[in-house]
Amino acid sequence: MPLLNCEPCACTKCGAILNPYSRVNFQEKLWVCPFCLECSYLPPRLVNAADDNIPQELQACWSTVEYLLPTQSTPPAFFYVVDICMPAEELQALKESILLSITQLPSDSYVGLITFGTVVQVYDLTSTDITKSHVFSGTKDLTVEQVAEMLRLDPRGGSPLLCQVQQCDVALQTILDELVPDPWPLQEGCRALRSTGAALSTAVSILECLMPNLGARIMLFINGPCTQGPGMVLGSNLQETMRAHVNIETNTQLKHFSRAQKYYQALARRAAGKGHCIDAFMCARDQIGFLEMRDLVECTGGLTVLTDSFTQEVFKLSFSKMFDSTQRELDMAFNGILTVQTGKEFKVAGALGHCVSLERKSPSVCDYEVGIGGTCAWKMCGLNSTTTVALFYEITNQHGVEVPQGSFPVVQLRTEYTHPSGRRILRVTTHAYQWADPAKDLVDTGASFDQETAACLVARLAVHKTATEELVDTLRWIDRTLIRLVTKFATYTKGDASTFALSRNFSLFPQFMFYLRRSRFLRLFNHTPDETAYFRTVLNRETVLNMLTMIQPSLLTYQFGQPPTPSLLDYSSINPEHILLLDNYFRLVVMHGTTVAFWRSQGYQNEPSHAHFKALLEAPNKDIQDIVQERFPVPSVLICDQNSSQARFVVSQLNPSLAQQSRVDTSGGAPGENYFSDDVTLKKFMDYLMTLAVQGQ
Amino acid sequence: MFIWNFIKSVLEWTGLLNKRGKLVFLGLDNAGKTTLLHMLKYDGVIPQEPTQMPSSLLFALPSLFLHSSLPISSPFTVYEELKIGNLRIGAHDLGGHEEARLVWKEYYHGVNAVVFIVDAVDRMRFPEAKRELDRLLNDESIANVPFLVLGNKIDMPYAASEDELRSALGLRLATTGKGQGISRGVRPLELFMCSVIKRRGYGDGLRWLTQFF
Repeated sequence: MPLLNCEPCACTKCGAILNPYSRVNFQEKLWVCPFCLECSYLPPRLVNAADDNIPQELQACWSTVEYLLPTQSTPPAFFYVVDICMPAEELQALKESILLSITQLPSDSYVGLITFGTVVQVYDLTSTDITKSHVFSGTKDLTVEQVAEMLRLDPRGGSPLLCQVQQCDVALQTILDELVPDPWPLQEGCRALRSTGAALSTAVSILECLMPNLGARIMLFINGPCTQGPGMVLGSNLQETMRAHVNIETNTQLKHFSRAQKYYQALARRAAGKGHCIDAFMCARDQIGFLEMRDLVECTGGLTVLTDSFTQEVFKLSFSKMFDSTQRELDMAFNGILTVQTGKEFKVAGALGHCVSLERKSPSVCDYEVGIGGTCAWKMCGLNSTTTVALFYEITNQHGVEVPQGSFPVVQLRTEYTHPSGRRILRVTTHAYQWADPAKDLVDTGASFDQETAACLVARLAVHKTATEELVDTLRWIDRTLIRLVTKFATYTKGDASTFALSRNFSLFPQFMFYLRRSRFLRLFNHTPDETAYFRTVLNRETVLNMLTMIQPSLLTYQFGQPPTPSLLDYSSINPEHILLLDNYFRLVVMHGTTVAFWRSQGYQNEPSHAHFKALLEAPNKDIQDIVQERFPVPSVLICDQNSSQARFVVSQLNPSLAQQSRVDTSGGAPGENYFSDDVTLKKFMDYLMTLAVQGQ
Repeated sequence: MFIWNFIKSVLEWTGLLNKRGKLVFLGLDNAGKTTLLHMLKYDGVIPQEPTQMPSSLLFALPSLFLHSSLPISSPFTVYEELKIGNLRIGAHDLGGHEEARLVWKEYYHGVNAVVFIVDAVDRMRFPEAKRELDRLLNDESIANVPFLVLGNKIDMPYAASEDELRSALGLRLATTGKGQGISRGVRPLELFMCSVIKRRGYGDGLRWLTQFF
């Protein structure tokens, strides 16, 4: 993709950027905007353009180009907000990770540090000999003005609270070395007092004063729930327990829920308003209140990691990967704005992803809203190479003039963002689509159906729906959507399910829906609200490929003398002599079949005569390494034996095709002897679907 | 009789007769805690992932005595309505793997009973189960709380017998009898064998346990 060091050429009427779909008259130096058909002059820099000298922004092979905008560049700021209510070994591991990250940061970037427990401490990073910090009460909710006055924050002069790494790395190291778990005494029968809300609010206020509309990220490290002050999610008394799905469903015992949620929502909007992003690194064995805090991440485009402990690889590797600069520069961008412009054939209905509405109206916006709608521009404070936003459009001809068959409606996406080097960049992507009217031409419409992307869009919509409606309604909506789709695009004789057939680019879609319905995003049992919120948050920002792995985990089989083969996500894929690798995005599980496990316990892999067995055992390692290398958050890796406790990570994900039902009394010898499940099988699901589809409702 | 039924239903309706209980489900990983809870709540078996974070749920006990014939297996109605009977149970389902056991103690406050589940097939881990059970029985903060120990998975061949498990867990002299009533000042403790997936045994155990609420 070309990066052009010049100003983009915009249409004088609608603001669209010159693109390969614009008609250009090189003799007259004129171009016609494909959106509004307005004629404009080419800018002076393009006077030499001709048919044999086509500038890059007009070449059809570059549907995406980037422009370097002429603004002053400021390096980004990284604000560490650290919970100190944790055991010493946890804090030690966290300190090591933070210290490592500081060495990875570009040396001109700004850093700041806040710690919190019973009180909130903001550190002065300029004093090298003694540690100086400002102490705030953890129970007070201070306004920006109050914080600015108390800390004497001046946006023009620098502040000792936010310094460039090269100037304060020694001071920062000393402060971190001296950091100990919260010294305030713990009351009998009580949890630690943790002022997460007050600490976050202070960090947001400081950045609001010092770095408005400049690249900055707040990195929050937490080991437990906020138990006092603003944003409290749980009382400190142990008699009170954390809310569960049942409390949310029945709206009982939700003492702090809505107040906390509103508090964090307001905080998220404040941060997003100034272009700052908030990451949450949650390492705890119990819930920390992520359900309430979810908007902090989703509105600001932050990254999240949820795992047991700061000592675990999942946290350590993920966190250091954030600052991985092996590819010369950090994979992160700040303060992004996405603008969508459409032609008159369809209009944008909304977006789903880690963004907030900028409430900008334009002729490209339709009245109907899907997700975050009613606008043509969204703010994405934090984004990187995998950030994916789902955009929904409405066809405008539905009630009026028809779009002529075979015309090419155009869409332009403009993303303005700050590169980690501080430069401001505008990325322009322009696409034209061939128009096929679904009411007239089912073959053309069907041929362009992308079932993988469609499954991901349904997943995002479903997750979005769960926020406002009952889960069972969401499941019914998925069912209705699926039935409507196959009724329209499958071939069958009415009333005869045996004639039902789906063309190739629809054939996997029902299966995706089957696994989506039973996925961790929509099945709540055995997960806490925090876990569910976390899974949904990650689903909301990832690419299509990654989302598919989450919806329908991938299963690889390793066997003697054969390359790894993808297998059906089904009980029938379990074989005593095979090794399986299950990848559900969050976890990689290697399962050794019983025979393999037995051979391994006999130590065959150590004998030279069984080198091929050793090779089999080691075969998954390469694939695991590849996945761990490229994924964020880094998945946890687990090796287990068939029928062991940990093997449940695999078995619970499989289609229970061979399982016995708990009601049916079978006397041994059945194929799935050890597997019991009353769950719906894929076959039964498909049978239902076909029966309903051929009824032609 | 009619009058009594009427009064009873009024009392139930107003919530005066509703008994409530709070249980914690403990045991090593893979003992069957979550599967049992799923059975109690939804009346069906679904293979579960190992529990990571403590989760809580509510269920009504009659679902345990009246096995309804509603199959959960229709693909389009997986989520059942919860029947509200006169005993509502709130249950904390805690993970059983070693790291998850660190948070067990945070859930002891105000519990009416502990259900400790043991995998009766996994003989290798009986000593580990015994160690955890002993630690719980000696814990001051739940000193007088009734304990139900369930030996699960008796549908499997080679599962330990009640006698064998009783010895392995050191419960020979400690249990207080499966009958009704118990002398004052003694902590009720009993072992029941069960198979969750075959819907056997745990009903007797829970019925025994709830008499102490």
